[in-house]
Parts: sequence; C-alpha cells; structure tokens
Amino acid sequence: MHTLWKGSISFGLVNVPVKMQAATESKEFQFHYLHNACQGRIRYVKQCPRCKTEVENRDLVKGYEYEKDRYVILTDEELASVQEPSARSIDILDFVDLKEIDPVYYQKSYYLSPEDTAAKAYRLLCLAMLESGKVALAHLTLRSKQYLACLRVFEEGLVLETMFYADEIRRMERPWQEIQPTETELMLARQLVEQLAKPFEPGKYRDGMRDKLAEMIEQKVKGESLRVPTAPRGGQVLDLMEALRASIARAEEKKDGARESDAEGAEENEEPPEDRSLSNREEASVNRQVNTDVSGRADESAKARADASENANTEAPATTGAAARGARTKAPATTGTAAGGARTKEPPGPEEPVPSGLKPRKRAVKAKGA
Amino acid sequence: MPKSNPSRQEVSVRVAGQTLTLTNLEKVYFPECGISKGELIQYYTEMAPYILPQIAKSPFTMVRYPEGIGGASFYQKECPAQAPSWVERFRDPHSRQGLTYVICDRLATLIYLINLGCVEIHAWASTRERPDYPEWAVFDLDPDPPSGSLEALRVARWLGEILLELKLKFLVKTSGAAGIHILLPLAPHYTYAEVQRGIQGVCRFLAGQRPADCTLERSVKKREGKVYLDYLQNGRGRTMAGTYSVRPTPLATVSAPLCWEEVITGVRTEDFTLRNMKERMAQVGDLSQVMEDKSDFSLLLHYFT
Repeated sequence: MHTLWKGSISFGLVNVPVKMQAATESKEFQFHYLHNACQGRIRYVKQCPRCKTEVENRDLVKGYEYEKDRYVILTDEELASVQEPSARSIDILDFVDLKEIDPVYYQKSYYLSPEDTAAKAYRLLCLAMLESGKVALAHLTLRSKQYLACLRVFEEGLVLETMFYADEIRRMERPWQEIQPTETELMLARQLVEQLAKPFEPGKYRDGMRDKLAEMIEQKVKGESLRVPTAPRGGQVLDLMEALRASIARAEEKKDGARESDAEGAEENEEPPEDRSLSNREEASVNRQVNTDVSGRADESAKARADASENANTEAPATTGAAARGARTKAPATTGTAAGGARTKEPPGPEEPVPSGLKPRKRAVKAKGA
Repeated sequence: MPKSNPSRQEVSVRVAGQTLTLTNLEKVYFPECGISKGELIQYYTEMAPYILPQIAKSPFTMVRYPEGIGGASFYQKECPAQAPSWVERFRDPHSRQGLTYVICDRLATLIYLINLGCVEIHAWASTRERPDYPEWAVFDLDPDPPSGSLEALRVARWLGEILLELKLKFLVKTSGAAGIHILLPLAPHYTYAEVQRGIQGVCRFLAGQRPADCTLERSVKKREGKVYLDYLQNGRGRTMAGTYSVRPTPLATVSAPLCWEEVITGVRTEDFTLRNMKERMAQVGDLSQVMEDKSDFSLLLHYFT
C-alpha cells in the first residue's frame, strides 16, 4: 500500500503526524480499447473542435459553464487562492456518535497510520475514541478539494471516511409513506426477515461475474500466449543461439564502425587488458578491441552510452513495459518513495513499502564488497 | 499488444518449447568491454544448466538495468503483469502488499528475465515450498578499502577452517567484486532467524580472534579498512548475487565458485568474467555441486549460539 497523503491530525493543541493509504481497492477488470484491425492501443487526443487541431496540456485552461456555451475562465492561481491554508492537516471539528451518521454520507475509506515519532499519540487518540464510543468529524484538503471526513477506530487503527456534504445528498420523493399495512402483514414480513438474519461475513460473497470473466481471460491468454509473440511484424521464429550469435556479430560491426569515426577523451584504465583471459571464440573479436589504444576504448563506451540514450526515448516503454507503465500511473507514489529517502537500505526487505513492487534507483548497484 | 515502435528491434526465438520475443539484443550493456545484451543472454543460456538448479524453486528478485549497467536501475519484486502465462509465479503469503514473485525454474524464464534488463541472479535462500526455512546460509565478506580480495580470501580461509572443523560442507565464491561469499548448504529445518544467529555467532567468534583483520561494524565509516563480516544477509527476502551471476561491473565480472586450493593460494576476483567462465568450467567443472550436500547445522548452532 502506498502513501497517498501525509499530514497530521490536529485537535486542540494536539498534533498527530499521519500517513494516509487507500483502504479499499477495486478488483474490477480494466479493459483497453484497441484498434480492431491491428490491435494498436488507442491513444486519446485532446482536440479542439473549433480549430480542428490537437491541443497540448500547456494550452488548456479551466472554464466553468455557467450557462449553455458560456464559460468563465478560472486560472490556477485563482483556484489556489480559495484553498484552505491548512492543507496538510486533518482538523477535527466535532465528536459524534457513529450511529448518527447514515452510510449514505460515506465516499471512500482510507487508513491512517502514525509517523514513527507519533505512535504513542496516535494510540492514545484511538483508545480515547474507543472508550468514549465517539467518532470525529473533520475537515481535510485532498487533491485541492476540501473534504468532510469521519475519523473512526477500525481494528485498532484509525480509518478516515471521506463524506459527502449535506447538500450533496439528493432528496428522494417518498409517496409510499402514506400506505399503512395491517399488523398481520407486518408480522409476516418481519418473520421473513428474521429467518434470513445472519451475522455479517463479508468473505462469503463473491463477484460471480468477475470470477467468470477471470476464467475466460485466463483461457484466452493461454490460447494466445503462443499467438501473440510468434507474429511480431512479419518476423520468423529463430533458434535462440542462432539469434544471439547474429546479434553479437551485428553489435561487433556497429562497434567497429563507431571506433573509426571518433577519437578523443582518453581515460586511464587500471586493468591491463592483457590480463583478461579469453575463451577461444571471443579471442579474435576482443583482441581487436585490446589492440586499439586506450583512447579508442573510452570513445567506444561514450558512443555506446549515447546509443543507449538515443534508443531510450523510443524503446524504453517497450522493454521496461511494466516498470514504465507502473511508474507512470503511480507517479506520485514512486517519486515520493525516492524522495523520502527509501534508498537507504539495499536490498530492501520484502515488506518495505515499494509501490507496485518497484523501486527507482539512481545508479547502478554498488557491487557488494567493491 | 505492445505499442508499435519502429526503432525497437525484436526477434522471436524458440526456447525449450516456448516462444519468446527478445528485444534490442545489440544494445551495449557493458560499455567498457562492449558486451551486448545478446552476449549476456548467451552467457546465461550456456550457464543455465549450472544456475537453474540452485534457484529453480526460489522467489526471484529482479534488479533491472534497461539501459545497461551505466544507466538507471531498479529493484522489482512483482512479476510483470504481462509476463507470459508459462512463467511460474509465487505469491508471498507474508507480504502485506501481496507481492507475487517470479520463480525462475526454466531456461525460457531465465532468458525472459535477462531480456527485461536483469543482469544479476538474485534468488531467495528458501524455496516456495518452505519459504521460511533457508536452504543455504551465507557469510558475506566485504573488505573495506584499502583491504581487497586478498584480505577477504584470508578471512575466508580462517572461516573455512572453522567450518571444516565442524565437518560442514561449504562453497567459497567470489562476490564478483572484491568480496567473498561462503555458502553453507542446509536442509530446510531452521528458520532464517536461527540461521542468522548461528552465522552471527561464528562471525563474532572470528572477529574476537582476529580483531585487527575483521569487524562486525555495520557503519562503513567505522570499518577501518578491515573485512566486514556480514551475517545479516541471512534474512527472509534478502538476496545477493548468486553463483555464476554476472555483476554490473565494468569488466562484467562473475560470482565464481572457487576450489579450496584457490582460497589458499589466492586468486584475483576480477579474473572471473562473463567471457572466460566457459573456459573455466571446462577446466574446473561445476564447483557449486557441493551445495547438494546439505550440512548438519545443529553442531554449529550448538557451539556458536
């Protein structure tokens, strides 16, 4: 679970620094639109219907449609000016009984956990709320919107439920309120309810449709795992070792070409290259490299690096598919972890909060014992 | 379906019944010695018969270098969602995030991982069947400069003598950098905590005997050029470069198993590289076979805890 928000609970003079994590997740299958003809993933483009051109993000402004086709523009600065100053705190307003709040008010649940230094104050707040049987109503700002929230104890920890404001709850007409059933009818209905009354066991209900869908997808993937990779743009399936040999030969060619074209930027190498023992197969090619002077080798590495970065733009999303995509969708969390100094230990224990199993690192791993 | 990308080179290969798409085989991964991703995959393909038996049942941690060793790298534990369906997965029941690891149990998976940019082999000491009971313990000898591999090897010798005394089988290997790893094959009867306690006991004993040469000091600043005896690698989910793993070093050094004579006479750890391991295998064979001989750890625990 990654941290969505950091701030502190404040009431009276007490401040409890906390981290917020989503308490729930949707297990719904996500589908993507593909072009039926070639199965390319559809990209969404922002287009201005008036100018018929694609519009970039930096050319967007926010407008409020106050009547049909008429807008007032609000700049980012103007929007920021109405934001509450205490954007980083959960301000407790009142304590109320949980039973008084109808579930219709609840939006989404978040777990709050204490920062290391605040565990005791956090625990204290939990216990006090448990003993008094009260829950707290609070204000907080999330994604530049001020929320009403209910803070309560759930399984010994604090849960924050964002809530709708009273004017966001719609009125429902209730013409059936006038109808009065007889006492016998009422008794029968009550018996029926009692027959089906059971303790709440959330684990026993399953999304049958999702299960069926999962099965269907799994079957399809099994069937298709062979089809998808075998047909990459007209290529044919090669023998592994043959493909590798060919690629190494091509890489060698490229390298030779690179060496001839440039020559500067000498770099001292502490390893005498002659010390490297080589297998027969590579001897020829590597000896060529050994014989070139030191400056030649330095250039080559520079060239190779340039090649790599050149390729990076176009190719990275493909090779690092999972990583790149994961990083993009969960961007705030990933960068948050890096900035938060999670890079202190290596390798991390399995329980460290690594969003989507990824951990960005700045440089190559320092080889152990180097 | 991957995004169409004209500059991306890919080739489909058949590996033991599975079809795999390999990308950018010509990309240079080790600029100093011009080793490409293709050559790295070739190395691992050739070494797979020696590597796979040690890791085939264990969760695998990916350390990915998509732009080669000069570029950014990152840890990834979660199996990529778009991994082929035949890639074995293991959901760690202890992980609060519900991490699902790759189990690298076959050549195709190994190649798939290297193709993702993994340079090293990082697998757990325990297997999916008994994830809390490691199948090897490790002494990780990490020389603090100016100490180097010679000093680390000397400490390995002393440790080896203790282990021989206890009638334990063990494997000494280079870390691939200046360090030395000593692996003790274990039957999975002891928890990580117990194993760590035993290894810690031996390390503490040796540091007491040779205070001028070894240290248990975790702070790098206070190691004073001694060899750091790291017993903390014996922890659940901790991984280090495995036997025959290539390291992200300029010369593409390999974590190479040594025979006892080499430990005594001394070797240069940087002499073992991706390009000469095949030759070495022909000369000395697979020294890691000793790992099949599970040691009786109880004696060590008895004397050192």
